[in-house]
Amino acid sequence: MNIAITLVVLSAIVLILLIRLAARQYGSPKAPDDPAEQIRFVDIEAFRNLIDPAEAKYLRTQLPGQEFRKIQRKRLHAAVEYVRCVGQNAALLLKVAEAARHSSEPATAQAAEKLVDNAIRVRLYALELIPRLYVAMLLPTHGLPTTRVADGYEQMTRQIILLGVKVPLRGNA
Amino acid sequence: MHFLELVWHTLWFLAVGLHGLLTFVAMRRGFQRLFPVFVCYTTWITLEGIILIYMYYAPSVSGNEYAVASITTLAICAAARFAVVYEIFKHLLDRYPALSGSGTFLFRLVTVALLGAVIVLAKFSPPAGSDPLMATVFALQTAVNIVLVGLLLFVFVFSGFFRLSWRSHVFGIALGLGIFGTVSLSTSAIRAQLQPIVPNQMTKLTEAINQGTYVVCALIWLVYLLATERPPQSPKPRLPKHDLGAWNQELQRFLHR
Repeated sequence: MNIAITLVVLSAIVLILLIRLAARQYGSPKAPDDPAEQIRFVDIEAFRNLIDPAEAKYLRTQLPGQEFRKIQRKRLHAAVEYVRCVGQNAALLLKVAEAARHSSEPATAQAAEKLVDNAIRVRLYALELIPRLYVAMLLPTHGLPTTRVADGYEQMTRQIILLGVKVPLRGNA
Repeated sequence: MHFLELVWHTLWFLAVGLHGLLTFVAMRRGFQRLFPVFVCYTTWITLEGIILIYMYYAPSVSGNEYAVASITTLAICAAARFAVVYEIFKHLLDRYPALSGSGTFLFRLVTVALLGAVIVLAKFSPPAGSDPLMATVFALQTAVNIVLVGLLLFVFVFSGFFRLSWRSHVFGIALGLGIFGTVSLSTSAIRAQLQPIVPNQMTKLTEAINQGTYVVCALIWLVYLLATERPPQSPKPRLPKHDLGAWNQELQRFLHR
């Protein structure tokens, strides 16, 4: 009987959650009032530095093991923040592009269509990268962020960073 | 006739009638081309409703025959609902080719995870009603509903994460199915644990709730099918047109490096 009660309570919670999610999503897409105001600044060079294998290698040779692990974890934490920021920027651009997708002007609609596609990819890449960065945090000496993430996902990170390129350099990272 | 039984039967007739109307409206508006699985589902709900009502009242049909028919229709409905959820998801992804591969992969992954979860749940919480056959049927229904609700939740969370926009009709179908799934999950979970041999107040109440949910779902679907597609919002004038092009150009440049 306990399981039945649990399931009844759970399904009530899920029902409320579904309705809330549905209500929130059905309200979109609405273009943000001023996207540039909301887009967060991403320092591309700083992010590159954080996931640079050469930089990590240098730190490893210069610092004692414990110190290196501590610093590398902090660097990866910062990298996660950057990726999150980029993901949020992608989400914001998605909203803008989604609303512009239905523009009566073909050029705008076409540009928006492509932007939707690319912003989704960036968000997808961000989704993939964050767990990898956390794994790297757990094993900072195994070179995960440098070789696997930076080499294998360098292109991906560039795409993510990109969202910060064309927006005004203001706000907080 | 007991009050609850009267409510249940009234709602049963109403639900079948509304699903019939829904099927008629959907076909009149050509939705069978856009949502073939959903239209098949509503058609099936109507037909099975008519068959079950006939069998329930026909003196020539035995209780066992009715039970077999009822269980069979439950199984078909469950399969059809999964197909509808998949159709909803496919419609959602249609407008976002970049998500097609990973979206489908995630959908399958979530399905497998939910199946695993219900297997574990079934192992630790076997049916416990006085009527073993029906209690097992309701336990299976509970498992099916957990997967269904889980998948719908995934669809909403997934679309929320990627800020995907819903078309009115698809949204209506998903919302109706979500409401149905959660309510049905509650009633089936209770009956899997308390199913008596002879129908009592609890069985009548849960039947009435289920039929009421069918009515609510049919009404939601009717409203969304009859509504015109929500006009998209145009971008704010403050956003310069060339910005989109420039952003995209940069994105393209990096994506192809």
